[in-house]
Amino acid sequence: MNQPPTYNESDLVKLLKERSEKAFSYLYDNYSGALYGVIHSIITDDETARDILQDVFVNIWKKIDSYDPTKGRLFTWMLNIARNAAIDKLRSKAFKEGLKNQPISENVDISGGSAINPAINDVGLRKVVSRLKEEQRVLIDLSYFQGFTHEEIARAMNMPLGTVKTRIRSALIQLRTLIQ
Amino acid sequence: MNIKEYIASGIIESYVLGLASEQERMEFEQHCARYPELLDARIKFEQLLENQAMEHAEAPPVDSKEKIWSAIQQPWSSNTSKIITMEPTTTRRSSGMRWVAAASVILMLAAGYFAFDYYNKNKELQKSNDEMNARLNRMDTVINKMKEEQAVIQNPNTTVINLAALKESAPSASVYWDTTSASVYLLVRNMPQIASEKQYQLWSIIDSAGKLQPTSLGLFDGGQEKVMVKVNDAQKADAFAITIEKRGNAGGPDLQQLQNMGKTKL
Repeated sequence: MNQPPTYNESDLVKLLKERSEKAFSYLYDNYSGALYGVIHSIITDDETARDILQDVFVNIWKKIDSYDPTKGRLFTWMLNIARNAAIDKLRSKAFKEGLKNQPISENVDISGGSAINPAINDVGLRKVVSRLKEEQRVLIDLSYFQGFTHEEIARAMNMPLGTVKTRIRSALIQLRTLIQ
Repeated sequence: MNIKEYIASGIIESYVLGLASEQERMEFEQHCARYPELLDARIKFEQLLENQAMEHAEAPPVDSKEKIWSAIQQPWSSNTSKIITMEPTTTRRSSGMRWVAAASVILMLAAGYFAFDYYNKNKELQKSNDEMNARLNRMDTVINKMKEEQAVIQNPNTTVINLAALKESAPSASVYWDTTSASVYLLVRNMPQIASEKQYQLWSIIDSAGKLQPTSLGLFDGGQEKVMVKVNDAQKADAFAITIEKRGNAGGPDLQQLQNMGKTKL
């Protein structure tokens, strides 16, 4: 095997937009693991997570033209594609199993948000989140890992929207210090 | 806005993690364009998040990459789907000429597709490029002309001579005369419309011991709001005058039709 080339981010993006297979291969080799970890922190099932990873990379290839570097780094863009794909799956699966009709407040009451996906891996960002205070952990779990909107959370937890927003913000600030 | 407070408000984390509302996102992007320290803080958090994700990377199943490649290559070769399953870009199972031949057919199709695609795109680009160039040239011409005129008007060697109206209907006219380069710009405003077989004519007049010698500096049409005429050969002139002549007049001035006149020296 040849030694894979390394690229700086703007060159890599340029090559990807030109549909360079070599650049895409490099992208996969370097980032598939990180993205797979992110997907796995939302979806436990290996097979489903793998399917999502494939969809994510196919979408990255297809949508690279819509990537705007002024709005964020390439990895952030890919991370959000991965998270959104995983959450879409989670919610459609939850729907199939009839879980979606359950008020989320029940899940919150029982085990702090993870009830909807009880056997979740405590890996990656989730591991960091688990070190937050209970109340903050629940909010991050619902919003980031389960994709509920602030409005949905406010309704389910019977809290004013402004309060939900403020608490999620302070949870995120706390999360950041834990990552560091 | 207090940018330090904004940075510390959790908006960066909220934006980067995809939790911000549409409105918050738009505001954040505008602020990022304006406040470099906000942009720096955003990039820092993104980097932090990336490092964190890299540290917790999990190896995906080994056949994932291959499946992604075949999914990507499907859309534009769906009409050759029978052979596509051999996966053209990998030579993983390239045992025997049959595979090589099949692979080269696919490569040729792919190359053909890309060549065609690039050809079309290139043609479009070429066209818009030509249009831009033509526009640029037109703008350059206009700008150069304006610069030239401006230079004459602002040149300290330039004298402004008002050509007094001798008839009630005559336009208001000024001559900008650069005696060092002998360039003459005639600026005429509100020239009345005249019969189409007639034209205005600008003359320079040299007073040679009481005998007036007119030299034509050019003909121009009436009915225009503003005219600038450039003449290159008018080193010596005692006066400038405008007459109405028949279109394309090659003879001398018809002094009965003198419209405007101004002396260079009082």
